[in-house]
Amino acid sequence: MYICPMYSSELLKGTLKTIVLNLLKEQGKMYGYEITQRVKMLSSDKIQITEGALYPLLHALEKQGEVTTQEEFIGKRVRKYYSLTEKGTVSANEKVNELSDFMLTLRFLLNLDSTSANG
Amino acid sequence: MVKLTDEQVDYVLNEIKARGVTIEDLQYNLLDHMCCIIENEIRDEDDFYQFVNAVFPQFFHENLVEIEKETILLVTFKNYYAMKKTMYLTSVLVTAFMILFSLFKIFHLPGAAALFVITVVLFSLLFLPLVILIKLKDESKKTEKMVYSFGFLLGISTSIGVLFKLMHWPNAGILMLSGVSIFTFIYVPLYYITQSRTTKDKYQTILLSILMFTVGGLMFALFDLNH
Repeated sequence: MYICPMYSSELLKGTLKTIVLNLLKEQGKMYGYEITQRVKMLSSDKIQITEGALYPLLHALEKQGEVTTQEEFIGKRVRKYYSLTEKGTVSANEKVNELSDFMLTLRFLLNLDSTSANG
Repeated sequence: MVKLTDEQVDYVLNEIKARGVTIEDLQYNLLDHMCCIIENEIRDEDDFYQFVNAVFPQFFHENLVEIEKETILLVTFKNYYAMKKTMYLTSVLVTAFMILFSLFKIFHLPGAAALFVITVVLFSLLFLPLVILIKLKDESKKTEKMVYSFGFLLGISTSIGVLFKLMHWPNAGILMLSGVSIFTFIYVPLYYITQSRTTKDKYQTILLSILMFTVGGLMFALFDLNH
């Protein structure tokens, strides 16, 4: 589902929703291509979201009422901007907190603090 | 940045449609995405048509329709995990109510009948339908989906039949007899034939089929066919 030059897809599975929701929370409204480029830029090309993962997720989020859409006509094509609903904002906060807690647990579990201190 | 002409936009849209994407909303999402890539990345010396055909494969592993399938899967089964949780919760409730009902019945306490009705209603109208829906999602083969659904539907009819029988409600005999007969003489052979063709564990299929046939046969033997 992901093109990821640096991390394995197993490692990133489950984080896509958090990444997208948090980006929308910070940026207000974004369209699909913009989301992929923003993630690519912020992660210095380490994470590249594929279209095959992004659009099914955006459609599911829309259906679940977590994002709302706004259409803009650019010549013959339609650009769909996604923004968070109130439910989506709550979900974004929950997801980010959950992931942050998980990362903290991993640091303890893998003993990364002492490794970096020793290193 | 290059600005695409209407003809070029039409070409990309037709390519998306030709590659099997039928959801209009998704077609327009992919069209805008593809156009953005082309406008930002195409060089003056590149041929438009060659460039488009070179970009398409980055959208999928085998074919573009994968995106549509994934979308349908996510949208249709958004409640999949909620359904699974409800199924587990219902199974715990059914077990608890069944134990309570047994105790009430043994000690002749009032309320045993009400407990039994609740147990069977939960089991046949919530637990089994959820099992069917989850099986429909989990099983990839059509035959297996049909066989399991048929089996659980028979389970619903038989358990409601038992409820009617114990509560002395009308038509209990027909419900139970039809459920048990179809289960024993149609479903079990059907299960054996379909499973023995596909499964690797033939021993388990034979064992399960014999068990189901014996239980069905014993229940069938309880019926007095003259009445």
